Amino acid sequence: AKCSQIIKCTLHCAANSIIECFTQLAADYKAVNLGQGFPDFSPPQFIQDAFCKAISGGPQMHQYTRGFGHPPLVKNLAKFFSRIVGHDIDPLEDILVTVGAYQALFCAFQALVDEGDEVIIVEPFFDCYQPMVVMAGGKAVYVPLRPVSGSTVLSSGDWILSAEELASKITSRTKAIVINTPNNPLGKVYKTEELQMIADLCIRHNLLCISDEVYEWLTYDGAKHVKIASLPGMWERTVTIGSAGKTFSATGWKVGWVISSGHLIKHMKTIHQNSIYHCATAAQEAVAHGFEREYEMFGNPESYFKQLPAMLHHKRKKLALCLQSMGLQPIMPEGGYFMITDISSVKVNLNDQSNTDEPFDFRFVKWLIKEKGLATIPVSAFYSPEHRKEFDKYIRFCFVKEDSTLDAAEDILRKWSQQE
Amino acid sequence: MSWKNVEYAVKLIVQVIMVAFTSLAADPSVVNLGQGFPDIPPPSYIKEGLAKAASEDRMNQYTRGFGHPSLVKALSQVYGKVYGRQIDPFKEILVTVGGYGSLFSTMQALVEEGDEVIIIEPFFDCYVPMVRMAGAKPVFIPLRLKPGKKTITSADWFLDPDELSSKFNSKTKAIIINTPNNPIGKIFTRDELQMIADLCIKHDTLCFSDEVYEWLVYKGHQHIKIATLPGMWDRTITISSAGKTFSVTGWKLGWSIGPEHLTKHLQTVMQNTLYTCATPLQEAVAQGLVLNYELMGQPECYFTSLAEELEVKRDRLATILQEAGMTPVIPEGGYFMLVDVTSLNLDLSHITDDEAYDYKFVKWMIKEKKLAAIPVTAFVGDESKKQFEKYIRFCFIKQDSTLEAAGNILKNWAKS
Repeated sequence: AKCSQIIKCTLHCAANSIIECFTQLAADYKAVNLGQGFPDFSPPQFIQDAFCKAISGGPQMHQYTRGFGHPPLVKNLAKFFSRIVGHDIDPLEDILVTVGAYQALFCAFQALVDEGDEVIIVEPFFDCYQPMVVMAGGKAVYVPLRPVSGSTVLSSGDWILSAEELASKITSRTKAIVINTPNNPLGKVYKTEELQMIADLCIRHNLLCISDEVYEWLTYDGAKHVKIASLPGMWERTVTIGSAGKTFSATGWKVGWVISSGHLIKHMKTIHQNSIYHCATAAQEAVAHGFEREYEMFGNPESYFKQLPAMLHHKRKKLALCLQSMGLQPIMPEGGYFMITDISSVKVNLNDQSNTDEPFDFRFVKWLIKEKGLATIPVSAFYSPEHRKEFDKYIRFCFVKEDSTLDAAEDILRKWSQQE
Repeated sequence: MSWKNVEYAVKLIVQVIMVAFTSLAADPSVVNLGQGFPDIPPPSYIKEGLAKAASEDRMNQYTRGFGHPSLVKALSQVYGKVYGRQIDPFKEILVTVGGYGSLFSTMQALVEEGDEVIIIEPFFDCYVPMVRMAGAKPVFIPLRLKPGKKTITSADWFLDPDELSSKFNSKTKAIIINTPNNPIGKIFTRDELQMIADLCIKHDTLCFSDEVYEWLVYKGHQHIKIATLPGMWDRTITISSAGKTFSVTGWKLGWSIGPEHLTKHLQTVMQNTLYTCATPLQEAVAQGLVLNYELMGQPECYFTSLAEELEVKRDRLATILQEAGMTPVIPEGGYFMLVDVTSLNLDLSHITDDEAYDYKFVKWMIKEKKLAAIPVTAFVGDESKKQFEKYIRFCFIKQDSTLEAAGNILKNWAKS
């Protein structure tokens, strides 16, 4: 059927449907699902209560609100993040509320990337960045995080971006650099020096920085999440993306936001106004209450932004021990809720002659779902086609799951290692 | 994406908003019959459904990208009955962020650089920016008033067959229709839809049918889906809205229904723009649809009862306006009413802004009479502005008290 050129291009970007494919396969085989990244436990009581309160609120809770963001939400986001970024954020000019961080990314790429622009994407990357760059008429240029050679690679902190390699990718057509910190799937939390290196290049070459920070509260072992927008000279060229879904363990609410300098937000507002226009009112009202509560609680042990990482810290440890006992080598994430594991030491007959063209990790993940009933995601899905073969020996586990789910995964892995 | 297209787009939308809301924001005492959303509550079971969904763990996390399974199944059931055909819930339906999101997905999926898209005036204001954002050219054709008719109903506005035919050429990718129409309230008849269908088939053109007001049909009229005409299912995307169906515009859920070979491209757009819509809201809409599916054809069915409730309001507003010396265009459907203000003979020549008469009138009315409406030339292209500049649009999906407040203003106006 006749379809637009845009669709023809994005259809070639197979990666964006990979997660959906594997999720379906996991469901078909009733696998224990440590694949797709969402909690299998409920959001905290206070945010659920806030949603219920909004639902039973006045009739205006069920009708259109301000298109660029429900006033109580943008006010609370501005108040909350001004304190962190160290900049007075204007709630009406510097914030756009979107349908999840996904739509925030879409608005950012559509607004800021023009035909022929180049966008540098740091690999491994959340799979939607590339199709979105293509849809905006841009060209994706990749630079991978690489494990420091010579060390036993045990932590996401050992994966680094080479300043020379990054600089070498910049051309006169480069418009922006996309970073994700904490990173999905690796879990890397960029240090201030690393962000400073990226910032220096952005300033020197007059580039924009799109910073996907949806996992900003999930850091472990003292790793500190730093906002690149807070570095000198970066506020006016950085677009920072956040997610209520990840912040409050409510991925199904699809509330996200972009915070940036008004002159960049203005263009994203135009995209938003001509594509979606409004986001759901009641969910925004609930998230507004969530941020109000967290503003009061900030730094307090009862803050959800402390409790969630504490809870996940324990799960991270549990999963890592389980994988290590299997003889696998997990890479301890400094942040986020994913853990990648090197599977190159696993000796297994995948018995899938028909699929030998596919990357090894894809084939391994399919085998693991079908033969062992355990779902994960192949990490080469988060790499560009040109680098996929270099990084096809890792699989990604999600640990934002109930202990019972992690226990079930542990059982599967233990039985498997006992069979060997 | 070309910035040139988008900046033109923003000018259009901003104009409407500026007119309607700048003053309103400053003055809460203005009676707002402007923006199209209810100030009446949605049915209580729909709110309860949302509260119930939100209390289930799984409902707070991601669901299927192209539409929550229970919702697409419910849609397949309801619309299967309406269309009289089996609709595949997974391949022929896409759930989107409102009717607006459906329009966007459709344009991005199926329209491209160099295409032409025919738009019937007056049109919902987002069609033009969306066509332009896809790199295509909007081609306008106005609904025209039957000659010799005093405007009394939306049925008096029609498409000239020769004029319509002249707008189709080899570059025409699609025609957008909106029935019931916003702002006029016209419901296209079977003959009119057949005429459009014949042209679509002759020129191998797609049809994007915006039917968000599909249930708001008043006595003596019938909403017909162009997709049900012979040869049209395969070339039509039909757009609907939970917000308009259940009086919950703030939920921002809608859906596109069409053949797999077209819907799959809309699904690709979805996958690359938003990925998925909110889960608890979709679950609640699914429950609402299942409940009303059982009641279809009965007076308790919300699809019927809302229209009955609104017909009373429609008639009340029309009376109020007639008594004030204005000429309302009685809509056959939807919840807007066009009003011809010519007979008020309001001289606004002292206002020197370079704006159409209706813009000046609405601004003046908000300021002087504390009553808000929307100027109708916001819904037409430049060449048709003169034809529509004596019309303003009122929204009547409002509480009786709001309509009575408007009535008081208009009564005093008539006296002065």
